[in-house]
Amino acid sequence: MQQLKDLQKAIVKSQIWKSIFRVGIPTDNRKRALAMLGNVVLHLHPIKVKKSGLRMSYTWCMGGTAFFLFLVETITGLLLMFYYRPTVEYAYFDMVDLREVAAFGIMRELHRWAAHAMVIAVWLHMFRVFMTGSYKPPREFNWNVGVILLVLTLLLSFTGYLLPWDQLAVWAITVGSNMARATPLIGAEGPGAAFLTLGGQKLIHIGSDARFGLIAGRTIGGGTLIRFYVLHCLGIPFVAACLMAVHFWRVRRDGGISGPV
Amino acid sequence: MAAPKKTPDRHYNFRGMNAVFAWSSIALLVTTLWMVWDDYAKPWKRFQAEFRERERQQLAAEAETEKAKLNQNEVARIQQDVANEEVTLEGKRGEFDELEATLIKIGKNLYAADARSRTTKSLLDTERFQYDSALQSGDEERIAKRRAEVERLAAKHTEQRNELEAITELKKSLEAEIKNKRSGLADAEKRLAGLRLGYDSLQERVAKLDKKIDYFLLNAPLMDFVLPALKIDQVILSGLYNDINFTDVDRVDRCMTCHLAATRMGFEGEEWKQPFRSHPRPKLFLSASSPHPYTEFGCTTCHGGLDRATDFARAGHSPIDDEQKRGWIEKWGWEKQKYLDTPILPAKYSEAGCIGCHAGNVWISGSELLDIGRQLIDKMGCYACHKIGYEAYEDLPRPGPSLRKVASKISPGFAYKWISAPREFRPTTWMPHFFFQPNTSSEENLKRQEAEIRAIVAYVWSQSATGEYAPAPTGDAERGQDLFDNVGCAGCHIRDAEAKRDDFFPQINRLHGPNLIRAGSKVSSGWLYAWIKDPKQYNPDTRMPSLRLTDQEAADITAYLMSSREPAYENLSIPEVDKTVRDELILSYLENNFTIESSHAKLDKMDEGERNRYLGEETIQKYGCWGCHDLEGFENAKPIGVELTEEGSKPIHQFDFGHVHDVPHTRRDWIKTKLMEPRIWDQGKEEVKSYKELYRMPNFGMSEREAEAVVANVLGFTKAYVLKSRRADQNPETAAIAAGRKLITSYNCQGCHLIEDQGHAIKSVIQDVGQLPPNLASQGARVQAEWLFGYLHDPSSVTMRPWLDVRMPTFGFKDAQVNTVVSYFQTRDKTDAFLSTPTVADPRHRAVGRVTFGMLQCAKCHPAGPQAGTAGVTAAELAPSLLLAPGRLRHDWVPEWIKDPQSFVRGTNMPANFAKMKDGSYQSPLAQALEAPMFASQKAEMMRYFDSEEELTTFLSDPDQVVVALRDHIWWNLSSN
Amino acid sequence: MNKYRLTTLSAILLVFVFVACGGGGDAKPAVETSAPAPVSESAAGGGAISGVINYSNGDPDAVIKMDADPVCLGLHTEPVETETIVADAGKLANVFVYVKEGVSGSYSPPEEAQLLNQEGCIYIPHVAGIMTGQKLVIRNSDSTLHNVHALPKNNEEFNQGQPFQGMELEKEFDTQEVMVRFKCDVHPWMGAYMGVLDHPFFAVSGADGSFEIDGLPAGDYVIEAWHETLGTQTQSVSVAADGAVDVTFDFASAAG
Repeated sequence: MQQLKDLQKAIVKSQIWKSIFRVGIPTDNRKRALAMLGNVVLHLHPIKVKKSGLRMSYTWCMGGTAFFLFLVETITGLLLMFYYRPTVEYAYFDMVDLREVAAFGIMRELHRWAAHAMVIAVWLHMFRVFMTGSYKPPREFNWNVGVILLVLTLLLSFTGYLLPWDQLAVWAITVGSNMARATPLIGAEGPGAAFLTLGGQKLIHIGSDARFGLIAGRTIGGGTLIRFYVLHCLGIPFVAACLMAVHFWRVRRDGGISGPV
Repeated sequence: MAAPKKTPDRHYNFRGMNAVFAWSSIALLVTTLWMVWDDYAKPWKRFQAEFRERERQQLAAEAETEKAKLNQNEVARIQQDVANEEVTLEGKRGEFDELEATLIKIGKNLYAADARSRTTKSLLDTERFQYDSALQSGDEERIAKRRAEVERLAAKHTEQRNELEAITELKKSLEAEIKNKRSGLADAEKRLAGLRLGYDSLQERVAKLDKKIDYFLLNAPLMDFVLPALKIDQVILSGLYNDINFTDVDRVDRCMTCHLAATRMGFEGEEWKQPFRSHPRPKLFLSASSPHPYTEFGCTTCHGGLDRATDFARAGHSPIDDEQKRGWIEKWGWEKQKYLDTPILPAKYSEAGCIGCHAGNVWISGSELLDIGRQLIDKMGCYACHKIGYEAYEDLPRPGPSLRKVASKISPGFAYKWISAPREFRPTTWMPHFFFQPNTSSEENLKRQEAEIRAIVAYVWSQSATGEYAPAPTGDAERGQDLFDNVGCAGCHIRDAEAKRDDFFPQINRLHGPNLIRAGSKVSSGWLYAWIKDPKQYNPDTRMPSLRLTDQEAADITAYLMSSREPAYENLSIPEVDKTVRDELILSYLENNFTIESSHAKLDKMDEGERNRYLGEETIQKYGCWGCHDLEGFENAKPIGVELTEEGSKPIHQFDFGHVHDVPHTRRDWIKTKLMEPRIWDQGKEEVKSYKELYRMPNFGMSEREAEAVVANVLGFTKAYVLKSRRADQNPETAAIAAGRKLITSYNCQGCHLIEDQGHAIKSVIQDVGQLPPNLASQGARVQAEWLFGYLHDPSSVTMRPWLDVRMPTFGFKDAQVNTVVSYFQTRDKTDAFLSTPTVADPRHRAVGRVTFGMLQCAKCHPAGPQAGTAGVTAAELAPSLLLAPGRLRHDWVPEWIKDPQSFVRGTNMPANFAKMKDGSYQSPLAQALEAPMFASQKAEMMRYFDSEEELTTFLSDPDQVVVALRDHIWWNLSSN
Repeated sequence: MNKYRLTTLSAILLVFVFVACGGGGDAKPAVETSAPAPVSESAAGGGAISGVINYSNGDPDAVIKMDADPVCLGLHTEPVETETIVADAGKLANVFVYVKEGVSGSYSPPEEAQLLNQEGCIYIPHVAGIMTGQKLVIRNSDSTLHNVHALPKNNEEFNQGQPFQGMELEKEFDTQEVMVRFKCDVHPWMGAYMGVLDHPFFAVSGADGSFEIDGLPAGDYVIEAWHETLGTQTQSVSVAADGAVDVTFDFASAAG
């Protein structure tokens, strides 16, 4: 027993250990604070949490839930990327194979359910923030960031919806992307499309408007699939991650969650 | 919140929190484990495990049987031998040890010698390279040095090789010695193994299926990617694809994951229930030697279903009826797959899958239901209104008779009654009922239909050529009946008052021509007489042939046919037309093109006749009569029906079930219901639909099995899902055969003849087997093409079988049609179209032929002259006259025929004179027979052409020579050539 | 909790997970399999079935006309009766009686061949039985051309000419079939029938209508009597070991 204790002591006192674990198990508040500040993961977490911040009936915990679901999506999404190929030949059948054959193909179901849950979570979060007045000064900017995050979440949902490449996906995205035609100025069927001309030639037509750029073609096809895949897996998550960092920082900065207005 | 304990700056009660977190963690863990378990424990694994276990049990039982069969005494004896041998060997242990020690030493020496030899060799090779480089450099000194080195090393290598070989020899001899000494034991062990072979191999297989600890480990979650015993079985099929609109994706069939016995035989018994049953007809399907091996065709190509699924419901298994559905829901949790466009076809319609590849063959051999359906589609004329883009249904003649001259054939009254309800007059007719159907049964609609029918008759009569026929000469109805039954009419026609169409199922072509009962009520004797004498005078395109009847014969048959009448039908009255209703109908058509006011004006300007004719024309356009009947003015009109080429792929929601709720929502049920009750989908819609919008498809009075045969075909009319290169051979040969088959179907050759082993429909009337028209197997190999060409144009030019009462009719074919038939026969038999001119045979062959012809008594059946059979002999045993042979038969075929007639025409009366041995060779009985004293003169006769008896015997013992000699006799001795 | 205890518990859980779900599907088989029955050479029993075939509708007086072949005509001094119904004194000959159901075990065919002779332009015997794998020798004892055309459904069809007197043909049938018809295409009146069985329990009724099947082990059997135009009749019998059973068939009621 004594030998065990000596061994433990030797390990904890060694240079390698100290280079990894800067602070030992905290025994007082100072050490607790130090442990938090000195750790990249833990420092995201506030050292102190106000009492008001723990009132679930007030906060609903939806922001945290949305973030948690975002993490779930990232992990399940990553696993799905091992099998799913975003081409017209393979997209649908890879999804079928995930369901029928692949081990842990249940990740696909999880990914889908978490996506729906995340959209619900962010809406509820937004309602909660509004109803608790947490958008009021000095938190206006954060509200805007939040709205952008909402839009990004919906875009993630939109781009992800296409990826199974079944009838539902293709037609939903067809209808959804058709709206882009009606964009003013840069939509081929929107107001002001004829405005942008060069030497008599219309610059904005069905093969060059916003919708074309969105779906990489005149109709939904292989180009749309790969474009949406890249947006869904890299583009939007990256932007969302940056904005989330800003969003969380702002919350902390402004006094923590549900501090007094 | 309770007052915090111990530490003042904690808000919550941590014990409580710990409890919450602990329970939720456990809940999460359980959920995760449940998720992993659900993902891992798939139903197919249970099936595989069950099959494995049952197979193991069966093998174990077989092993026990094998064991029981072993003669235990024998086993004991041999085991004793083995023991004895072992003892002997033990006694020689010292010797063995010594030998083995020597062997080890020699082994070491061998290894060393081998290594040395190899090293020297590689040094030699290096040196040779250096030598080569030296030669390139041109430096004499270097060259000489290198050369010397090479020579030295070469010599050394040879020496070492010799040494090596010597040691190897020594080792071998030692090993042989040891083996020799052990031979007794080895022998005994081998005998023992041989005895136990059956049992041991079965035990091995049982052991493989045993569930030992490694089975559980290897099939555990996470571990099962390494070497699982339970795994998905898939086959990737290139060229057989799923059409997913944007592209085609090769199928990946995983059916055998559960259907483990599909490619194996021996699982057909009652105790093996699906999915563990063998596939039926393994010679045709799935086995490696069949035309459809599993690795190239999979399952879903024929059966449909989601190829990549590994779940019972998701694969698209369709229950055949409600009972099975309930059972499946209960047992397997079955659910209908709403989004699966191609569910698995129920077993009885599996043949629909053949069409995807074999449509070009027209007759799909091996498919019973499908072929019957094809014939029904042909006879009912579905293709005439509905375009079906498959070879079998393209460029077919119109199924119904021409109406261009109908006014000269029947009375308008008969036409009215016939159109109203054809099956009232003739229950077996193929013409369907257009009128007085359930959706047009209201009083108003009845009046409308009466007006329509009147109008149709008026219009057709106005367009038809008229004509008068002189009444037929008097004939004897009894002789007429005799002729009708025997001269060949019965090959296409029946004359039966009680006959129902379904009675003839599946021999559909018995009803190729109409049932001639009650002909007296339909046509005049003059018309009938003229028609049967020469059908083409009435309709130049008719398929009915002429039987070259004499005037008296025609008169007799006319008398016989006209003797059947139905006065009750003749006396049926035709209702008066309600003129108001008729005028309303006319207005409804006019108002499509003109304003209401001008329509009324136009109507007022028409007189009675014009009104009827106008309405008639419009009505014909509504019902599409020209699809089946040739009508003046409608030659190029397009068929009015829905195209059926891809009906089997039509999404189910595009089928109109109307308000009918008791028909299951599957393609097969919709199509079957539609075929049996075409107007059913208008049920409950009489208020909504106007008269013109009501469904028009006529009612064929199909029985359930007729409908099912047609459904089997329609389900096979799908979008392409097989690459052209993977389909059944599509080349000029198959096209020639397909064209021939279409013609054969259209002209009902199988009504009289046996073609491709089907036909002889006339057998139901002609009892004497000898009176049947011939089996046309191997016709292509047998006859000269020019002869066949001439014969088909004019069969009266030669009579091969004068004893037959049945006559080959004159069809009046066009050249193109005759060429199709000739080409069909020749392609079927893979005959070379080119036929060399026969050279005159030498005297020896002619002599041998003449003598053997006599010895084999060929003349017993083959007359030497074209006379009919002698008295007392029935037609069953006579054969065509051989005088006809040189002008008719292929001279290269006759010897093969004589050698083995059964190989050309199975069941032929021509006997085989050369017995076929088990190894496939033929034996000639002639050489031996020649020894008998009664053949002494024949022997002497033949010896004149041979140098020795051996030569003669050799000649006669070779069947190939003998048959050539016989052919030469027929060609050059019998005729005056 | 102590973090060690937690780790230990998780480890145990994990092990439990592996071991418990390693089976993946140890469901009991749904249906019992039956072991195949052991195959053995069957011993002959001592039971016998014998009896008589009645036919009281009289013997038709028809005679075969052999005019077509003068050789055949010359071989007979008296007219030859047709062979379809041979009934003397109310008893029917040429009825093939055999055990249809109830035979178990395997039997090997006898070494001796069954002879089918063509003599006087008729087949002798007209009806006979043969075992699968037993040799059938077909001989032409006439000096005219005969051909032997067999028309089986389960076996291979053959049509062999025998132009010389004394010619013999050896054939074998490998599948059970009741009955195989033989005909001669040269002489249409000639016909014979062979019943091919894979056991030796059959007999043909003689001129007195009697038949006997012996060597039967004890058991319950269904026997069938076959006639070429009068159809078939079956009866069930029970044979005791070394016992004899008497059976009567009456074809008169069948004809009609």
